[in-house]
Amino acid sequence: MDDFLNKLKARTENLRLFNHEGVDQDALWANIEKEIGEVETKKTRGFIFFLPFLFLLFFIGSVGLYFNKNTEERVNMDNQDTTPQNSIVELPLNQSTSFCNDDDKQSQLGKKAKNILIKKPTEKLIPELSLTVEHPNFQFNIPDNDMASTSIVAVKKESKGSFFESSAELQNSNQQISTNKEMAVDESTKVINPKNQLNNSLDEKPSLKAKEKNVLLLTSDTIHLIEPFLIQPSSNSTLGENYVNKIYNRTKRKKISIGLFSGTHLLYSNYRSTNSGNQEREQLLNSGFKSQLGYSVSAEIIFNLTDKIKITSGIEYVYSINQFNYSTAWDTTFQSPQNPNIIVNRMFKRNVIHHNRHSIFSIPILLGTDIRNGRLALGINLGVGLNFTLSQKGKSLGDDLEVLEFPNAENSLSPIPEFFFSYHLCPYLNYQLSRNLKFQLRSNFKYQNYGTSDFYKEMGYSSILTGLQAGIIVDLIK
Amino acid sequence: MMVAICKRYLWNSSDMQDVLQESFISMFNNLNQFDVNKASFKTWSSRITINTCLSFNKRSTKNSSEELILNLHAPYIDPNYIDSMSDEELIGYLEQMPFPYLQIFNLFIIDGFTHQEIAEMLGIKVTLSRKRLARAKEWLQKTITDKNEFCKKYIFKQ
Repeated sequence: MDDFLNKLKARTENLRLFNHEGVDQDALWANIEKEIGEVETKKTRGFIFFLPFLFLLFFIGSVGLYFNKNTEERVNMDNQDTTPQNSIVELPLNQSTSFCNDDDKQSQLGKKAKNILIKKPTEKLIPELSLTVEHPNFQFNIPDNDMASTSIVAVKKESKGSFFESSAELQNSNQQISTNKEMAVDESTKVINPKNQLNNSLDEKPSLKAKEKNVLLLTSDTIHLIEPFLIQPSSNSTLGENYVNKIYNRTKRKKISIGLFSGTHLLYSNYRSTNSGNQEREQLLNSGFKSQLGYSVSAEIIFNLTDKIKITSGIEYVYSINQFNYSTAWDTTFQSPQNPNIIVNRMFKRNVIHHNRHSIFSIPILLGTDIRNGRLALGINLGVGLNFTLSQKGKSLGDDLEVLEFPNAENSLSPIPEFFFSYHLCPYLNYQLSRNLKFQLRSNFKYQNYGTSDFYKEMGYSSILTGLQAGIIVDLIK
Repeated sequence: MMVAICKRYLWNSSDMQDVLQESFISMFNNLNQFDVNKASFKTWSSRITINTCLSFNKRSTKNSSEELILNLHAPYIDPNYIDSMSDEELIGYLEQMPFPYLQIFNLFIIDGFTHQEIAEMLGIKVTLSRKRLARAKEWLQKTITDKNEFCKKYIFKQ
């Protein structure tokens, strides 16, 4: 700065350049108080947006308590299964229902059998009950006419081990099932145990086939072992079959899984003017924004309502990036440095490239179904998302086509509202890695409607998110 | 203080009350961002008022074009001449200064912002900020000289 400017600076430092005449102070403060009151009212209204979130938490907690209660009931049943009245199948007439359990029994291999359920239905209940299970390695064969002495036995071992490798005691008749690997036919119980080696593991997937009208009752802990082979009861099923259906469905409803996912996505913004005077701005905004890769991580909880229908909810953190590209040009005139008498006219162009960023906390509520084929399952989730904007920073075009930064100290307005809904479509592919573990690959399509805001006056603002996510799902309760 | 800032920075001084109101509201709404360890309240509130004025000018001058064709063949003026000017005379010169120059003059000379900060605040290049300051100085020198010559030629001769 040269002497001339220094002198000017020294003069202006203590110079009272202007006074405050002409300002109506009363009107000024009255308007300020009015505006501040409106802002506080808006903040109060913002709290209402959290009500759905609180409601959702209450819902999830209630569902969790419900399933937890069911689990406790089942455990209690397992612990009291020596009492005939505490039958798992809860038959209305339980005088002929007997139980056998192995709580304190050890198999010859030193392992405990998990559960044994024996049902001895009366003729009144299931007059035509019969069961034939065929398999290369073993057979069940229960005569139709000898119901009083017939038992249906299902033995479940832990997932590793033989299907029929446990000891069991039939309490009513004190009948012992042999635990020898080559079991003989037990005539007294009319149960024909496996003829051959019984050490075939579950992985060998024996092809069990239940014939028409046959019923196999299993505890909730054992049903998953033969689940793929169960025949769903028909419409004219007997009362006993309905019990199977009841147990089967109740067991499926208890299934809860959690999933952890991460992935990337692109966010395509869409602006539409609601006023014909805004079309230039709409065009500039739509052409000025380019999508860039963002990322998301989510934790989900999946409730299996039925075998096919499930509800998914959870929390998701979404971080999106958009490139804002905008050019302005203007003319300016200046004195030529070479010849002071020449005035040069130049055009200046200003190109703004800025990476807009925003992060969102989302709670999806999705309804889904799938089709299974072996280890693979193809499914789809549909639903809505409750989205809460955590942060947003960037530049965009203001009302008068000037480049505005948000947020800044002088302007608290932002383009994306604090809360908004999104609509989800998520096809997915599951691969069963192990008994309780699945790998899921899915694509996300979300329509996010931000509505109108004070930042984009007379403009509708929405976006479409397309993404790819991968993750694992762990079954917690079966 | 805020009134003085508004008067210095506003293109149209009749908007002063609106801008003051906006400035106060911004201050109240963003009071939680004020950090006494970073700046005094005076500095912080001045910055908000200046930013509000600049935004307001942008909006109000969007469609207006300004004639910047000036014959800037500025003669040399002894810097000590500034001291001999009265307050009213100096204010009179500044009030006549073309607005783009006055904006840079205010920001750089009076409020002490750097060219980099000015460029960010106004959305212009740093070189343009420097040019405008140089031209503000030339304009002032030329205007003072012209007035003095006018006085010499027409007033003092009478």
